[in-house]
Amino acid sequence: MTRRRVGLAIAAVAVVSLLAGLAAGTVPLSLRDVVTGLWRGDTPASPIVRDLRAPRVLLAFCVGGSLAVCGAALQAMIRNPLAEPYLLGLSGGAGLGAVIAIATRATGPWAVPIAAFLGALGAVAMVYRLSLVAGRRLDPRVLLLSGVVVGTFAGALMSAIIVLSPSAGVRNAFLWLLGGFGAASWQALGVFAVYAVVPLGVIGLSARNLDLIALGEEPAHHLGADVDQTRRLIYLSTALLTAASVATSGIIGFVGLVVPHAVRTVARPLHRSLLPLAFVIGGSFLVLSDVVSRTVVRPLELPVGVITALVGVPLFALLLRRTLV
Amino acid sequence: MAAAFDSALAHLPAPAVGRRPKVLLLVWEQPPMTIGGGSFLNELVERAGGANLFADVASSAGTVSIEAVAARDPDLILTTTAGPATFMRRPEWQVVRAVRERRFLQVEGSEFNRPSPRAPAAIRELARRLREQA
Repeated sequence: MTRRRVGLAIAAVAVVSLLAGLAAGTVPLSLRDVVTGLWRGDTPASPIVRDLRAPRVLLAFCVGGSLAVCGAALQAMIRNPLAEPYLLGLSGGAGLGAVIAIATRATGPWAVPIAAFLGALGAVAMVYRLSLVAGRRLDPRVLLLSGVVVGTFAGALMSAIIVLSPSAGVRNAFLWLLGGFGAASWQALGVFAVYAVVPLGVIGLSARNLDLIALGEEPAHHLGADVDQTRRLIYLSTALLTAASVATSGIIGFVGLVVPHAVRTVARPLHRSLLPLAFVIGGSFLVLSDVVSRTVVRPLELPVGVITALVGVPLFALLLRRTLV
Repeated sequence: MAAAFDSALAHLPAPAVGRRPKVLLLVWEQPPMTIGGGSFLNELVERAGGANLFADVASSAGTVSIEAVAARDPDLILTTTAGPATFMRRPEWQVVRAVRERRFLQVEGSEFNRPSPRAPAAIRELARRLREQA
C-alpha cells in the first residue's frame, strides 16, 4: 500500500470509531440523531451527544493515543519489546495514591484522581533517582528493574492499607483503578489536554533520536544523538502522560504494550510516522473498546481494561502468527 | 436482640400505596457506582416505600453511566458520599432531571452502609424523607 492509502485508511478507521462511540450507548442513537444532536443544541439527543458522549469519546481517543505513543517511545528507548507505560512503577504509585485518598476519606470529586496523579509522580521520581547512574546517565536496564521494584513496593503498601482500613469505600478504589471513562467530562478532557500537549510534543520532536537509539547506544552516539538527554526527556514525558491518563481514567493496560507492536508489524516505519500512527490506532482502539465496555452488559459498564485485553490479545496473537511464522 | 429487631421491623408503617418513587442509590460518583437488587441498601429502600432504580442488576454493586441514569429518570438520588453541591457543579450531571431539580437525599452513618440492628431506624428515617421529597 502506498503511504497515501495507509494515511486514508487510518483516517477512515479513526472517523468510524469516533462516530461509533457517539452513536452507541445505553440509549442507541442513529447517525442522523448524532449529527443533528452535535450540530444543534435543542434536539432530544443533544444533551447526551454533546455533554456525555462527545467528551467521553474524545478522552478515550486521547488517552488511548497517548498510551500507545508512550509504549512506542519506551520500547525504542529501552530497546526492549516488553517496555510499556505501566512497567515503570506508575500503576503501583497511582494505586497507592488512590487507596490512601479513599482510606483517609478525602472528599471532593477530584480527590482520588489528584491523589493517583501525585502517587504516580512520586513513583516516577523514585524510579528516576534510582536509575541515574554516575550522576546524570539514565541506564535503561536499571530503569526497568527500578520500575518493577518500586511498583511492587507500592503494591504491597496498597494491599496493607486495604486490609487494615475500616473504610468500606476501599473496594471502590479497586473498581476505579480497573479503568474506564464513566467519569469523562469536558473538564476531565481539558485537564488531560493541558497535561498532554507538552509531553506529546517532546516525544514527537525526539522521533529522529529514537530511530538512532533503536539502533544501539554506540551507533546513536556516533550519528549525533544526545542519548542521555533523549532518555531523560522521553522518560519524564511518558511518565507525565501516563500519570495524566491514570488520573482521568484509571489504569488501562495492554494499549501501550501492544498497539506499537501491531503498528510496527503492519508498517515498520520510522518513528516520525510510527508515533502518529500509534496515536491514531491506539485512540481508535480504545474508543471501540469503550463502546463494547458500555454496551455489552447494559446498564452496567465493564472496566475498559478488561475489554482491551479480551479483544486485543486474540487480535494481536493472530497478527503475530501472520507476520512472524 | 433478634426478637427486638424482628418486632421493630414488623412495626414499621406500611409504605404508602401508589407509585413508588424511583431511587438512584449512588455509592460513588466518579465514575457513578450503584447498588443492585438483592443487597442491603436495596432492601432498605424497598421497605421504606421506594424502588431501586437498578433493582434489575444482579451484582451487588457496579459502575453505570450517567446516560443510563438519565434514561431511567430517577425521582430521587440517594447518595452516601458526595452532597448535592458536588453534582450541581458538574455540567455532565445536568442531563439527569433529578439533579436539575435538586432532588437529593444524602444519608450518612453506618446504619445505611451495612446491615446492623439500627436498620429499622434507618428505614423509618428513609421513609420519612421519601415522603418529604414526594
